[in-house]
Amino acid sequence: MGGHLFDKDYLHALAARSEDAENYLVTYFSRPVQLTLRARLRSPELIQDAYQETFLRVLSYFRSGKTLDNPASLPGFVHTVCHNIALEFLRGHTRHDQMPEHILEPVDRAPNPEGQMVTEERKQVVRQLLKELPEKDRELLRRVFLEEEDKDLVCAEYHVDRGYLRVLLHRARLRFKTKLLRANWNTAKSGS
Amino acid sequence: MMDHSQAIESQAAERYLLGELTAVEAEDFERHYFECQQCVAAVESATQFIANVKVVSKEPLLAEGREPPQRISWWNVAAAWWRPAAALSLAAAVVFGAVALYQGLIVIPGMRQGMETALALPAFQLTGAARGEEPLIRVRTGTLWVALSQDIPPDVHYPQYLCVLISAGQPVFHVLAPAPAAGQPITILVPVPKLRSGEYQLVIYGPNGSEGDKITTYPFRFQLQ
Repeated sequence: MGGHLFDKDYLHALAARSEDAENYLVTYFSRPVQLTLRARLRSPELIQDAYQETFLRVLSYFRSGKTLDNPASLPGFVHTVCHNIALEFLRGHTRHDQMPEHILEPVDRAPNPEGQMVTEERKQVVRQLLKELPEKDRELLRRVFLEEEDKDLVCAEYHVDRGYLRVLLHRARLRFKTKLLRANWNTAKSGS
Repeated sequence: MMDHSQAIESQAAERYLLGELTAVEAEDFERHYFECQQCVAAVESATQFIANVKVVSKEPLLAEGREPPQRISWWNVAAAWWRPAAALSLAAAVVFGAVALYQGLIVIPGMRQGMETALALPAFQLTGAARGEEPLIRVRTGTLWVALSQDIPPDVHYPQYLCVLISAGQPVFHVLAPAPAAGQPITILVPVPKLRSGEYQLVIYGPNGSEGDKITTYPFRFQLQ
């Protein structure tokens, strides 16, 4: 869906170390890189290190004069680099060389990877959402996500299958997003 | 590679976060969301939701323990002891004190002595489901523990494994076991009083414990003599 955003000119700009092109790359891939690393690494510090290492390695690749035959494959390329770095970090391998001092680092305008998943506003929305759920669903979510109990065992205890848990998360996620958008809209409206 | 409609239809974002995708499927979905702003937003909002559920779910426990501050007078403190609830608490405290004394003087020294003594445990090596007839494990009534060992396939490497003991389709208990040394089996101690004679399965999962994470199954028959 986003492949058309990246063309040969964009890759040339990366090779020429264009600050705009590099910042755009970091901004565009910041979220998927964070989410992918979060799925593989547990330590916030490790996620932060791997996040920086991913962009460092992608930018170093283009800065060294290498390129991609198909510019649309840039997302896949970034994913592969991210995946490999996560595996390296998991295996405890030594890190990639640091970027030479004379090279300017791209500005990272994205939020801290471990940062602010939890905010007062989101907590408020989740509180409201949990209150609206039946006790059973609330307990199911608490035990699966907070207590991190075995999902099959918890589902068996509540006489539901894994599909039920998945649909519960799916609906909760959609309502969470809608309520959050509404809250943001109301805040913006009252501010204007 | 997975396309957007496939991702939506299969609820890939939820499956991904619940650990229901195989490693190949998860990677396929990741490759997709590196290109798809909608799917990355779906994973992100679900991740945010889960992170906030973790925090908010702790709150009722904290709030329940909190009480508004009150002014305390010595008269109120003295009078409070004669209220039924306080008198009951006092009686309970005396009983618990006596139990603690009994445990401290008699039970714990006995247990300590037990921990400092070598024990012989019945131990069994389980074999995989495909290798033939289910092994029979015979244990004498009154035995407290039985050790079960099972091999992990050589191509599987996780930092820990979830071992689930199942009887008649219902889990009896589960335990997380750290990865054994190379070539060594996982050994778990099973409390015999929780078991009845019958057919069992010991299922080994990867750390997520999802169906896609299942590594192997060890069926066996258990008999109390």
